[in-house]
Amino acid sequence: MKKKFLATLTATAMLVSMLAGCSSGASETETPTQITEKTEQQTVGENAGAAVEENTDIEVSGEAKKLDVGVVIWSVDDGGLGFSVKKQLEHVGEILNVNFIFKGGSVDAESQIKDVENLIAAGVDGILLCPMVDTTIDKFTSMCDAAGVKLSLMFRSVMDEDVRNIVLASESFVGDVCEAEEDAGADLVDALVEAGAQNLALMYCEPGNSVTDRRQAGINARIEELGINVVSTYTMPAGTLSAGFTEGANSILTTYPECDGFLLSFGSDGGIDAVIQLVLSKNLLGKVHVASFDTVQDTKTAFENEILVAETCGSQADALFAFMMLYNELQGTPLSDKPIELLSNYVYVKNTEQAAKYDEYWSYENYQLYSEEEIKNMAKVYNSDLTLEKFKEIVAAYGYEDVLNRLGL
Amino acid sequence: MNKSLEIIKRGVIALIIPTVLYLLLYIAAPSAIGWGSLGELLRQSIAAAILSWGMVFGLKIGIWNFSVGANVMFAAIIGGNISLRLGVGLLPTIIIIAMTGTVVGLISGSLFIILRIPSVILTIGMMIILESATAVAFGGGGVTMLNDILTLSLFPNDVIVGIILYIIAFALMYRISLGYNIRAVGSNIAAAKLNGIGIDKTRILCLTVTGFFCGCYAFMAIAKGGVITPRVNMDSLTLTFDALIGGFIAIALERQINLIMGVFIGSFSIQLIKSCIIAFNMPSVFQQAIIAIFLLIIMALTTKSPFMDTLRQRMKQLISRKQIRSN
Repeated sequence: MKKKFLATLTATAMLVSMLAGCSSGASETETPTQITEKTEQQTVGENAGAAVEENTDIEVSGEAKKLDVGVVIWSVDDGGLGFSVKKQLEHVGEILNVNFIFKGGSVDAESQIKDVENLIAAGVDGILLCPMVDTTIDKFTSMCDAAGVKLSLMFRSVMDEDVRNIVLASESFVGDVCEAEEDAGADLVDALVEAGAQNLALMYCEPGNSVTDRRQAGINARIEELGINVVSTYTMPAGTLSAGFTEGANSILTTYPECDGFLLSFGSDGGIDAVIQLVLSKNLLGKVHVASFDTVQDTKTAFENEILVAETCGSQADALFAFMMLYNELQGTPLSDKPIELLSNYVYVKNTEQAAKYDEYWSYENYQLYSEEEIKNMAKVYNSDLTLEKFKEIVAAYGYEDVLNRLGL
Repeated sequence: MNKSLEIIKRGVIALIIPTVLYLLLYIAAPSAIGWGSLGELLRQSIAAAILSWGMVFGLKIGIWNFSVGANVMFAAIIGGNISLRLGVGLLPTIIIIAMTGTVVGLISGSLFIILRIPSVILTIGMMIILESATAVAFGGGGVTMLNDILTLSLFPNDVIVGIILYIIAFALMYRISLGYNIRAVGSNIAAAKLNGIGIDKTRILCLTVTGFFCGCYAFMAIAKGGVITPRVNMDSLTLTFDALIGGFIAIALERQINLIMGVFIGSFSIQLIKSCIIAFNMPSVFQQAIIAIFLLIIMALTTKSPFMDTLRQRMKQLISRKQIRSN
């Protein structure tokens, strides 16, 4: 009898907690936000600098709501981009009174779906997501639609046409920010050619990831345009350990001793470091060059030994911009009543001086990419003059010189 | 004389596989052939062989250890960070990392004996625990060691390390009682028990030795790239499977050559396969599949089964008929 009673009590407690977790996730509103006039805004095109016609005249009053936002990203402990995103968002969270719940480590669609489910169950107001597989984005939007949670994508845009139509029609979808990957791929090819590389080895990610697919498309197009010889295209699964990069590069150099350049479409988690160490260990300084997406751990050494000719970095601002779009939406002061799609800029590091400055000013140790005032200027609830056009100008301006200028350097 | 000829014959048979693969590579990429590239391929085989040496001890007594990859990461990240914080030199760093892997192996062995659950299940559980631990330890940032340890990947340091570990592995398997016990248990566990061999003790020691070689692979992995980052979601299985394949090839060649050299031949063969895949411009995504097919072929050819026995008999009959016709 006692056991049955305890079992019933426990089951009831579990049921009640489940129901509580299934709430809409609406945060407590400290003060009401008043919108005096309905906005009419057009969907933004892909180019961050494109003009948008607006008929917006919003007066915002009241204090900002405290928000809970889930962040789904490949890693927050990678010591690289993921880690920078976390530090940046935590800084923003302190300024804007936002509590971030980070879900890192998932690099496949299934794991990310579970992460989103868990965040919705935890009652978040919005989700900032970096999807690993393009074709599952509609799954995320449908989950958020059902839960009444807003969704913004960082580091990705929706490439698949069918999925894109579904996602753009979704109520929950705020928008996405993505780098101009194809252009960056072409720029890296140019950097290698400039360094004298004529026989390239391409180390690619397996197909299905919209970011690396676009990078690789840009690289391939530029290689075809310039007529560069490709000795090998080596494909690795996402999540490859750094030893896999070493092995692959080593096999390429052994099979094709004429190879004089490596171009990596992804190099996080030690991948670029592994290739650079291999070139060092084989004493191929000046003979083999490397260009890569993502950042190497020790950029200074990589450039001083003339191995690394260019890396793309600084894309953590992408996450900030995607979050600010979401933030404005969650505060009831959206930048647009339709999804916003923006392209953001990479920072290119091509020499030791730039590497040193990048290591110092993009590391979040002593400096932030955007000050408290600049962050608040991106939020309508603090800056009633903010428009979508002005926000896009901020996004378009971001880059190496922009950050240094704003820091007064 | 007969004994020497027998040894030579076995050696030649054992080297058939890498020889055939090397010839294939020559066809696909003649520029890849030469003493320089052969030396490079042999050097590339060392690190993979280290992990497979550890694996083969367990495989010999029927222990499937899926946690070796995770142990490598754990030893590298925990051992590496400890040595960085202590500010010690190269040799203490190597010892700390190797010992970290050894301790993990000892824990795995002890749990195997205490819990009495199948090794597959235990080691998968250990893998998940170790991966999670590395994702949390030291802020989850992994380990970055851009110091003296990188010299281990340079020639001839990597070769010296490989030779030392080969000697250790050979001694453990063939020169001390542990190796005899492992081979006895692997052949017939009931007979081994009747002969007074401690099965549990052997298993614990086996997994401890596996852990030691995981630690050794860990410092070689750090030496290669300088950075080891945590992996979750069973990503470390990639390393484990590569090591498993090397171990299986060694067992398949055991009748021709000792297990430890067999592992090295297996690792060398795998490096040749990978080079062939690149040389033939085959999609590298099929690398694991091709290696697995290769392994199945080797094991099918060297394993006694009714099908293979029938196939061998028919081949012999075919050859003898051709000889008769030509005579």
